[in-house]
Amino acid sequence: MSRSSNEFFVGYLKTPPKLAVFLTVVSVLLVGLGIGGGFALLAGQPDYGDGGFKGGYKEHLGVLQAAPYPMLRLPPDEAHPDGRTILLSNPGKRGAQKRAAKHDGQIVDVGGVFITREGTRLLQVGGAAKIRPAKEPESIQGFVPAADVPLGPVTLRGEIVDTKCYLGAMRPGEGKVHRACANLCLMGGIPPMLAVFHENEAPTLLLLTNAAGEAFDAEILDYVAPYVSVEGELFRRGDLLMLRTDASRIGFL
Amino acid sequence: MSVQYRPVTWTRNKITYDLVLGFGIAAFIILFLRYAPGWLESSRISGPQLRMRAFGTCAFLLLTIVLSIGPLARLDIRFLPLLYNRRHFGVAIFFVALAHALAVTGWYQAFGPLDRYVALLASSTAVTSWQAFPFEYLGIFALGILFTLAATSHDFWLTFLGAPLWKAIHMSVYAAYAAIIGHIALGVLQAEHSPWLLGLTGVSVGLVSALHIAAGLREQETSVAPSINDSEGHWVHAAYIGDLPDEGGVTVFLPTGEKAALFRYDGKVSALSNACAHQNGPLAEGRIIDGCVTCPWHGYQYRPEDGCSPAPFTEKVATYRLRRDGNRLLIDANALPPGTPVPPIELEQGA
Repeated sequence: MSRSSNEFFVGYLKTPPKLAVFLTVVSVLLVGLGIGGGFALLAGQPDYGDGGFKGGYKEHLGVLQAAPYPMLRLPPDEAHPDGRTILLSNPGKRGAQKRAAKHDGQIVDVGGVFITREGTRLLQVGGAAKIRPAKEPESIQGFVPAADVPLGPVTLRGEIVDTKCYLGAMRPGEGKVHRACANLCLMGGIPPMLAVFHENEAPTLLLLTNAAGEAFDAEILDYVAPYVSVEGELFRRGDLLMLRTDASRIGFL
Repeated sequence: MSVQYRPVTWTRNKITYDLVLGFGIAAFIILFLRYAPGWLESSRISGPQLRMRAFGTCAFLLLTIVLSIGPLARLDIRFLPLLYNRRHFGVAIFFVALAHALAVTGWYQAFGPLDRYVALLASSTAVTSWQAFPFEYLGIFALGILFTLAATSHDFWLTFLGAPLWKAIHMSVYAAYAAIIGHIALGVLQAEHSPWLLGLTGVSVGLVSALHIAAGLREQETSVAPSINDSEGHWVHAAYIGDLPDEGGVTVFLPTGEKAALFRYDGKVSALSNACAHQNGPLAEGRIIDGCVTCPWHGYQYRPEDGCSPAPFTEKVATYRLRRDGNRLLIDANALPPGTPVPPIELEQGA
């Protein structure tokens, strides 16, 4: 023993004064280092972007398509020569499939709030309108949404995300930590997208479907969050890019 | 020491310990929630996710500290007071880790198509994949251990299970730590590639490992005493009389694999088991206080002549026979039943 017995600590006796000073210094150091360490763990974490619920409640007039995932097609205008395609979801981790099914192909009013990140949007359906037959369909009467435009086979690298969280329902709504949540969203019917990242510009987002162009089943869940390579056939529906693939053509990087 | 069970036998030192611990945790959480968003590149992190990080980071740092206390106290006895109330530290870690788990299940597993606790197990299941491994399982495993340790932390369980089993159960904290390192490595380290995150996780593993190795090496400096078998017992070299400190102990590594604590006091020498009956604390690292061997961990006391705690306490430890051989002492490696009186070796003045 290198320390004299007057520094010996017994819990139910008074702490020797020299030892009390030592313990005070150690306590301050531990609390300080702990808090400092906690903050240092945060340093260098990536940017989750500016995604979020934006613009408040609005109603939109368009043609509803239920497959592969519920979406609203809007006719072309000057700013959108290919027309617009807006993906829809319900509140929470649930898709809008049930609400959309009975209006497939109809002109509808869809009410809700946009979740927007770097120019890509998804509409969370809700409010007064939800999805209902259009009150004033005349302005787009006769609008027939264009068919999917094939753009050829591609191999892309990126991260499979649930569209809703990625666009800002959660921040961060991507990455391995968020994987369980993303899978629950996909299980609930939220559309999956492949986010392809670029050096100095916003990621490109592509809606993922199975090889037949239908909604993906559970086989995609194993590939959500880690970086993957996806082979498939690229299509464009309005201004929405869609990638038809299947699980056998997805691989971890 | 206590002759009856109480929820907590409070002492001034325990109250101080808990106040410092509580202050440290509260300061960490409050400062993290208040200032961390400003440190993030994206300050718009969702509130529940910020809380997950606050509680998760805090629990990890607390576990690193609590695992460092044991070897630190072996290397320098001035750290023993940190060990004194380590059980409260452990219970606090469980509650901080539970807060982390509740923040996660209340956000990631909520609002979905499955019950949140079903979702915790069923939403990410690719156990054969390195990249997609459900790191949540490792967190659940670690939380289960932390709960078990917190729930059995009271002296009732120590007495009910017996010190060796209780100690073995509580050693599973190392499994919890390993699981948490896996939880971090296969979770946030795969999601975010910050060198700080990786570096500080490595510092935690390095610190805990290095301290344990250093404490282990120090213990191995003393080799097992050579045997001198004869008809009257299994006698081995214990110590040279000149090496025995006044009022302090010496550890003897016996060929049976056990350790004895040799104490010199009032011109006499006695030998007890080195394992305190309370939590197997190392008695040889204790002191003679009021004529009793006093455990360095929680102050449990034993009379050196018979290994019994003074009345009204009832704890007992094994004793050993000693024999003088010139300027050294021999010890019979066969332990006597706890509480067996053994006449001490009387030393002449100046020995």
